[in-house]
Amino acid sequence: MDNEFENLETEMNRGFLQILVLAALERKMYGYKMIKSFHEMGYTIEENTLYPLLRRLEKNGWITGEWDVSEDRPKKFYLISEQGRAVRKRALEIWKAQNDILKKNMEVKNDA
Amino acid sequence: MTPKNLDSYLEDISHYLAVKDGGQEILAEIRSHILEKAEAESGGTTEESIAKVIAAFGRPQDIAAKYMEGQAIISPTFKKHLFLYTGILFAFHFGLTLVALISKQSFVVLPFFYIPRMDSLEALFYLPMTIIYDFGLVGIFLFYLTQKKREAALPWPKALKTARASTEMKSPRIISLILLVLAFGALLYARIRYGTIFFFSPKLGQPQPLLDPASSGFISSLFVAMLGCETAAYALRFYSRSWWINLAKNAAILLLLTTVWNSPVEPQFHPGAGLDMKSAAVAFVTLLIVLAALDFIKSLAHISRRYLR
Repeated sequence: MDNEFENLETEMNRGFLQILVLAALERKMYGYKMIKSFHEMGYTIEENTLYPLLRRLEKNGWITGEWDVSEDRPKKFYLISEQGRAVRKRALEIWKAQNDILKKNMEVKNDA
Repeated sequence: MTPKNLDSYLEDISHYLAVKDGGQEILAEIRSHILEKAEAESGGTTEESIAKVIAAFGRPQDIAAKYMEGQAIISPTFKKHLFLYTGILFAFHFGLTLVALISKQSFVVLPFFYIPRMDSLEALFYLPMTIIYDFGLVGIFLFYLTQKKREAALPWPKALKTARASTEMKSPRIISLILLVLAFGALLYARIRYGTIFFFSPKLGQPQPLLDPASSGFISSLFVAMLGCETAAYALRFYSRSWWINLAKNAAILLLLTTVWNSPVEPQFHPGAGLDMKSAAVAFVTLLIVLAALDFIKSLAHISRRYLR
């Protein structure tokens, strides 16, 4: 049961995380900073999940990545692209629609 | 200076990471993350603090797998095709091997097959290699389709669509087993008592050996062994109706038949036997080889079907 729930949670997080990253990258950020920022908001993300996701989003052209080598330790900063904003808008619409359907179903169940 | 354990960890990841481009960039980003986290959480980048961060980051193969998500070597949807096509190719390869055994020739079937000249014993070692070769050949084909993202609809033989779901062998009958044991006993007795199992009777009640003594004993023993295999396999059916037993039996019989075919001693038939005995014998052994080969392929198909469900 616990394992199955963990799988469900992973599946649910998969979509949510993409929207979350697209929302967070309205300002330039690098991976470690993003993890800390999410953690402060109460959402823990595994570091080995975030970096592959950032790479996928960058490949899709939804975010852009740029290395900052001005400090001793180079860091890769990310920022949402215009295409990413359009994707985020559509994804949020889907998410809201799904939420409405769920709410309606829960209401029907409560009425019954 | 970077701690050694970090270098070694990144190198391990690189061994698993098969991305077309950006591999070095991925490693650089992971390096940067680990160093920063170690410094932020432990106040420095010592081997101990790095080891702690690495442990939390995960196993190199898991990290690489996450970067390669959705990049299958062979698409999982081709799994059944991989086994099916390997089975079909092996049946073809098996037939070619039989031809090589009978014709005592090596030959090439373009573009993929070279069948060497071999004897029965060499064929025993050659056939398992052909399965590996066929599996590899089909694997390369499916790998190519997967990598090229060709959404080809792969054909599925019609015969398999209509094949019965049952994969069990028929139940054995005790009367058949008794008859087989009696026949085996009779042949064994004749071989031991008279040195041959082949007779002809020019006059009623006066049987004479059909073959000369030099070749008769050897070939007779092979036929007795064949019937022994058949009887043992039938008896085993009372305990297990596995197609593997049938497959092994037919492999053994084919081995014995091809040994008969390639017998080093040219059999000399009794001059009084009449007819063209040599042609009749060739036709008889050919028929047995074809029947055993078909039964072998049938067993293989039944075994494969279990994996194709």
